[in-house]
Amino acid sequence: MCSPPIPDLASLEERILAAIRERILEVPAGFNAGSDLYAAGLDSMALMQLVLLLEEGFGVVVPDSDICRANFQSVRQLAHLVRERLTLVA
Amino acid sequence: MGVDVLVAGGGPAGLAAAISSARSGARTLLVERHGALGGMGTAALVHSFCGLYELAGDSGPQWANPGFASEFATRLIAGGGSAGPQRMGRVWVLPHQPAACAWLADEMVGAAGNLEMLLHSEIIAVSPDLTAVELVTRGVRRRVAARSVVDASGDGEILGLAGAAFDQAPPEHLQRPAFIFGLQGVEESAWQDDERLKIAARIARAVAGGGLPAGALGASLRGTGRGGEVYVTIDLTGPSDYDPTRAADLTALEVEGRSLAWSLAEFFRTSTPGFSTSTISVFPARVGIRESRRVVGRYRLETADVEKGAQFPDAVARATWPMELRESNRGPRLRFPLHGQPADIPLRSLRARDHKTLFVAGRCLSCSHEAQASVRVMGTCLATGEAAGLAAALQATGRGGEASDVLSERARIRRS
Ligand SMILES: Cc1cc2nc3c(=O)[nH]c(=O)nc-3n(C[C@H](O)[C@H](O)[C@H](O)COP(=O)(O)OP(=O)(O)OC[C@H]3O[C@@H](n4cnc5c(N)ncnc54)[C@H](O)[C@@H]3O)c2cc1C
Repeated sequence: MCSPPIPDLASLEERILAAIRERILEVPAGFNAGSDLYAAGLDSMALMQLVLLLEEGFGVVVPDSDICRANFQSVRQLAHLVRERLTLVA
Repeated sequence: MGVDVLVAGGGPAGLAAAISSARSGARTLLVERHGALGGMGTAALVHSFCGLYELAGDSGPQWANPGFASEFATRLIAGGGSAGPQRMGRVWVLPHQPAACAWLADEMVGAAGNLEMLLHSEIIAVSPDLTAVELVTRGVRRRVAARSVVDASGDGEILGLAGAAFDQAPPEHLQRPAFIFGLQGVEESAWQDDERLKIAARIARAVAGGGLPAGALGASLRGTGRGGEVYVTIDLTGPSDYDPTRAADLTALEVEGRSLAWSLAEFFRTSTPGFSTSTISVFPARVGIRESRRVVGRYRLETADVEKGAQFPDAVARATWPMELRESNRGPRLRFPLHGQPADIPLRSLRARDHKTLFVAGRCLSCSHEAQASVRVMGTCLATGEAAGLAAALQATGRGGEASDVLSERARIRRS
């Protein structure tokens, strides 16, 4: 059995953006993968709910050591984080 | 007993209204249900004043409403109740010690002549024309005649009792209530920077794994910098038909808040680095309510007014805080004014449409649901309270009561 192909960054960003819009918070107009998540109003707890969604959705685990502000600055950073974990799993 | 101005409720709006009315020379009675003034800023353990300053720019913090609001904040800092303003992104806030709010209000009430304060007294009835109000204290009723009344009850209780027109957002849109409690004995490094995120991650994982109830997801932490003290705010969801004026709902919120707080405190102590010697230091006297009734006034401050930074000829205060929407327990959504320009609050928004002698200040003034998300903050409540108190005093003592009279009276008091 071979594992499914690892999605590219752009499609990961799309899926994370969709998860934020649907499950976490109504994002302001013009919000995109590069926007600052804190400025958009995601507090620590909202961010962690997002991490759990990502863990469930992508079957990865974000270790405690990766939980820091810098990794959660934007959807782009999150996509990188998820992709890195996916690569490790594959 | 008769007074010129009766102020219902001694939260930020009511204490500002009563002290300002008395300073203006009106015989004033301030009635408060609890044993201390400060409203949410004392009883619900809300621990910072927002809306005191202009949006952050290149220079330091600038007063949004010079007058009672700036005086109160300055004295809070001077008295040791606050370490001073802190910048958070585009805004300045003044973190404070809830106890200090109650203490300072006592000091200022004591120094104002013409002012009687009755604590442990609840207004339970009003005459149809609002010329008399009935209070109860420990089973004893008392009737007070008043020329003007300021509803600073937060929940528009005078509106409810008088049958005056009000709005209330549907249950799913009302800003969420919250339970705030204090922890002591937390190591200073335990909640700073990335540690806060890690704590949030632990809570989220514990909730997902069944180790904490789902309601714990509404929690956020803020350290005070005072001897290992941290405030935990838990935004609560409430029932699907949530109504903050219903006894059963308030009861359920208190019980749920305490239950979540107890579980969280235990969780922190047993499984969070830096919290092993922590313990609950204080529960609030009451659950925090952000929004309930809003008066139907002579002008309704609209969402677009706050968005555009509207100006009015009868402006008596300014709203500088962004619209902070908390319609879910997943943290705030902030909506800033489009051009960074604060909105005026007109005196008409502090006057009931149908009752000539009824003024309204604080979080129940006349505005849209979204505009309330800006004007409810305590710094703005101090300013709307001051304006309503002065207008009520001037009207009750036959000295006008238009916005221009309020502004000149405010300037006169500041000079004296
Ligand atoms: C969880 C939470 C967090 C918040 N965080 C912040 C923050 O960080 N910064 C900020 O600036 N604002 C914050 N707010 C908002 C702010 O605290 C309130 O909107 C503000 O306190 C409203 O002031 P008020 O004077 O209008 O009413 P309240 O503070 O509600 O005070 C009303 C007072 O009237 C009394 N009263 C009511 N009815 C009667 C009656 N019939 N008889 C006698 N007395 C009566 C009450 O006991 C109370 O003391 C927060 C609110 C909550 C709930």
